[in-house]
Amino acid sequence: MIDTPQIFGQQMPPVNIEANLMTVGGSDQAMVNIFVANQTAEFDFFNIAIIPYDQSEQPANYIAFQTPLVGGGIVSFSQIYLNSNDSIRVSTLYGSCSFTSTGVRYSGPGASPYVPTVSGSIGGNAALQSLVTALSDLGLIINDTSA
Amino acid sequence: MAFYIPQILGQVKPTLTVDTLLFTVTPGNTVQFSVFICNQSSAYDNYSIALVPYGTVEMPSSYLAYNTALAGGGTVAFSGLYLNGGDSVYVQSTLGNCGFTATGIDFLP
Repeated sequence: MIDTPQIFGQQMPPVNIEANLMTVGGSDQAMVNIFVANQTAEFDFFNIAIIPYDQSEQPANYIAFQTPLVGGGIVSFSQIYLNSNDSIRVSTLYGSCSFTSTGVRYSGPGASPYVPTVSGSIGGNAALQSLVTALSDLGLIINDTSA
Repeated sequence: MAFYIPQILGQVKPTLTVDTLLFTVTPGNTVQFSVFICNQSSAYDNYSIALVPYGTVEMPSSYLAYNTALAGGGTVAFSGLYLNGGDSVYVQSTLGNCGFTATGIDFLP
């Protein structure tokens, strides 16, 4: 597995317009921190939705909803873990807040690798049975053999 | 050999006073996670979070938060939580205005 620290996305959405802050790559996972900064002297109110892949936005997705942020204020959300194609969408009431997501992208083999299935008859071979059991216990194969 | 999968573990916005399962750890796995709570109304709501070990039922000692007040539009997070296979997280709020999101790492054996 390859760990790549990076900025995933930066947005300053217009008034009441929802923007996509980031979407995790198709075969990646991510650990994300989000920073919100109110760039005016007045209160603004912000929303952050964490949306699982293949779902539409719904109330349960929000980790912040019309949350007030004082003028010049900042707030952060840490250690948000996402799987492939999950996304984060943001918006504000007055368009005064910027959003930055930074974190670590996990890519390549290792996170959820292919585990082959071994099938067929062991044929009473004790050594083969022992080998298949050992590999299965290590998580390297799925044991679908018969005695 | 162990594998790990960062992911959203559960998201719910329970009906008022209804104790609701946020997620259960797959037997054999372990997880490290955070819970984010978000009050989606302009009024105060009170929330509860219980960590319930496998094979037990919810009891007073299960609660991380119990009837804890959260201001309208408020948000709060709990981090550094670890669970073993079969353990569960239950959540509720008094007025049904709070959303709960659990994200973390699922460790597979």
